Amino acid sequence: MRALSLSLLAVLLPLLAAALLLAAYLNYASVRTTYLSLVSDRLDASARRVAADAQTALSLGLPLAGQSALIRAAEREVAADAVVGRVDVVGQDGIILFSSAPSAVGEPTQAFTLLGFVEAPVVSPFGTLDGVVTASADGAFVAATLHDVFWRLASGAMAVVLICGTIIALSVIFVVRVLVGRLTRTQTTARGARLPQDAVTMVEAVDAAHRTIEEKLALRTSTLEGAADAKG
Amino acid sequence: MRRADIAIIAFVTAVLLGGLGLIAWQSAGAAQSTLLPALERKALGVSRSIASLADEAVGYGIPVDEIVGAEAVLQSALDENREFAFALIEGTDGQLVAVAARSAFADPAARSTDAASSISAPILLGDVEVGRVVIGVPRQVAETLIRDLWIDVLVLLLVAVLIALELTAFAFALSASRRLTGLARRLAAVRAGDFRPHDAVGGTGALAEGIASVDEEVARVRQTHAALTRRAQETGDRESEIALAALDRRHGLTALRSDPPVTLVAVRAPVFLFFFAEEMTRPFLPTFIARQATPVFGLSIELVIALPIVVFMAIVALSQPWLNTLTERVGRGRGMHVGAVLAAFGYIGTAFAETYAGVVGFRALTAVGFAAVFVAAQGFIVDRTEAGLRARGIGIFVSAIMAAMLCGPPIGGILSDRLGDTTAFTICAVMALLAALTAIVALPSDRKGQADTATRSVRLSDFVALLRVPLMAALILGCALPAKMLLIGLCFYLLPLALASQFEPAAIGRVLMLYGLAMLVVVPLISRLSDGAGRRVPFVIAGGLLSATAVGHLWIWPEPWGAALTVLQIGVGQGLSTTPQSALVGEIGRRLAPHLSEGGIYGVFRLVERLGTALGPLFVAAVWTMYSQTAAVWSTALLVALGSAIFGLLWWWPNTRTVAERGAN
Repeated sequence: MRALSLSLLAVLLPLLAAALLLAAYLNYASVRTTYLSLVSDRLDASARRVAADAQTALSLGLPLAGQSALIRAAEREVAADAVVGRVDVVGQDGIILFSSAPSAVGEPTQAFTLLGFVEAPVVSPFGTLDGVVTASADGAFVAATLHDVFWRLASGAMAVVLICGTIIALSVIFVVRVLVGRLTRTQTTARGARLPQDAVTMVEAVDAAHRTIEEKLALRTSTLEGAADAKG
Repeated sequence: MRRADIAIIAFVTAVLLGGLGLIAWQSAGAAQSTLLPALERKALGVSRSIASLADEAVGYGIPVDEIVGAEAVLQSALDENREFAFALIEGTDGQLVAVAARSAFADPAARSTDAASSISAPILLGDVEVGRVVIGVPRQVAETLIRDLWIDVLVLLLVAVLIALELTAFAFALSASRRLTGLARRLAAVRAGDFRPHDAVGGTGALAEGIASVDEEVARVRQTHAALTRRAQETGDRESEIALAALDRRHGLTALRSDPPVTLVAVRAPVFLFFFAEEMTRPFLPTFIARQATPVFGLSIELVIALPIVVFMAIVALSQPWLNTLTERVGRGRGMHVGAVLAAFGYIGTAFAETYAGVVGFRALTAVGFAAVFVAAQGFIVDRTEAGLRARGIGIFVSAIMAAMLCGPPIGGILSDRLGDTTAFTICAVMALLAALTAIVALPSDRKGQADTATRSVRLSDFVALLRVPLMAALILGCALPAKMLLIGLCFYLLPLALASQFEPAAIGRVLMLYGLAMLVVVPLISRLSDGAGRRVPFVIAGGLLSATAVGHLWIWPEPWGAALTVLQIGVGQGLSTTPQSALVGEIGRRLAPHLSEGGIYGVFRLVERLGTALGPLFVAAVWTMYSQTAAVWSTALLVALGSAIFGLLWWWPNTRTVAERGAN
């Protein structure tokens, strides 16, 4: 009985855990994707606003490299939204002209974080591409948010696995106990044999049918013997 | 016992449902607290952007309520951000200037309820606020997000329950449970009035005592019956003889049991887990190969993508005859362990292969392992069943494969989608190793020389002799071969590739699972319905025509529904024809090629079928390269339809039918 319970639990508990944890992961992945998409949208909006400012100045004849006011625009965007880590204005040659992070000026542009990076083109009134505005997410902020969600879901899922696992374990032990109890419950037959209860009714029914035939055969045998005696 | 199985599965299902519900509820809470503020920040950003446009217009002296194109700007913001409920511009007095809203928020009253939170940015003329841009964010954003996952979660539940079914049967088939299973089987049989004897089960304890007492009692009842029958015959008591015969018919008092042995069930779990691993690759394998594909031997890209699938199928088809002999020699159980481990290496290698040649090589290794497991598992059953029980034994094996075909693709798709192809292949390897482990735990050790089941390999002369019979050639080459070509070429090669441009692997997996679902439902039904010899041919022809016409859905319905209906109809069609086709091969062969052994006939049939699985993707890719995707689909379907039609014509050709029917009856 113990072996069967253990075998059942050994196959059912990992399955239960895998199904629930996978479901929890699917939920987390979905929240993560949506969150990163929202982050990307916010970065995009910030980059586009700075790019729009740059294009307005370009239309007034101010070259991109001379638009130092863009530093304030970039800093304003970073200050306005915690998710925006850095905003850079990049020239055609890929070198950062202005940035919310002053130390980055003069450096070649690169993705600040893998968790969110967008580009908005700066197009002159003549349709030429004069540069791009890049916005990178604050990697630490985004990672912390996702980390928080992950642990909330993971701890919740672990609790659910524990609860469900306990319920399954108790129910399997109960079902096996009931099953073994039912199978091994014995009863004494009319013939005095101890037999599992479930078999008694049918065995006795067949025995009864046999007895009826046996009595008929006995009667016929005695009739035949009687007839033979009478002849003798 | 059966009730205990059902009780456990029902309980597992209920607990899983409850658990998944709890996780969904908890996820909704976490999503709400994370996403709603993020969405509100985004709405603020968008409202500020629109407000800055309005600022410019107001700066040029245009009053807020006269800004041209305001509704178009708001509508475009709504179109770009599908999460937003509405966007509007209002004056400082709250008077509506312009609005764009989803249908649920078209009514102004709906916009003022708690269903959406309003985020606003001021429209400024200098420092004076002259209006506001307001964006509505629905509060049930998290619920919508979690609801979008319901198909994946339902698929997960279905697959988990099916796996639980398999594993529960596996646990009951373990040697530790054999006494319990043995007693339960005996009591169920006696309760149903079945007094045929069971195979002996040894051991000690209450269960073993119960088994012994039932066996003794059954033996006593049978002895009594035999003694009474003898007496009735000796005394010439006809009436008692009739009564005893009736009792025998009702209770099987002189009959012997012909159930497949309990140990056979033990092969189900390893087979299920192993095939589950391979089936998981179906939705993403073609696109995975496509990403690694590089030009080789001047082949077109379509052929390059098809090549690893063709190589896999060809190895599986061609290696089976010698693997059968090999696994018979080394032991079926050992054959399964080694095969599963080889396949696991193959999956890991494929996952991390950096070149196209690596992918082909590791898929070839997986194929050898796959073929070894297939042959060894089949041989395990054949070795342990007598000819009369073999079909039922093989049924255990086939139903495990069909269950895997149902469960594997959707889970493979979800894993590939969420965790990537590399992780999905790694999980396939883990499943293959689990299959090896369950085989080690559950399968009884191989007994050398246990059964005389040695089957000789298929010879070329068997092919020639069989294919000289036109009806047999039509059945094998016209029905069996194109059916497999259509299945692998279309369902497992072309469709995943074609769908990948629009859908994620999870959706492709859900489409492919419909084949397994249809087979799982239709095959057992048709096995019973088609048993009458006269009905087999119509089923084969109808199945072929149904499969061929299934491709029409691809042009009738939008994707993925067209592909889903195509796969489903092919599943139904092949479910209709598979069992009758297999039975017809033996029947027609016995009559029209009597000089060939049944083993030889089936050997040719199976080999041709498996060659079809290799030829399918090759044919589809070749036609696709030379003409178009459409031509590839229709030409494969045409092969299936023509093959079925030719077989039908030949069958109903007066002379052929008479001869073949005589054989069938």
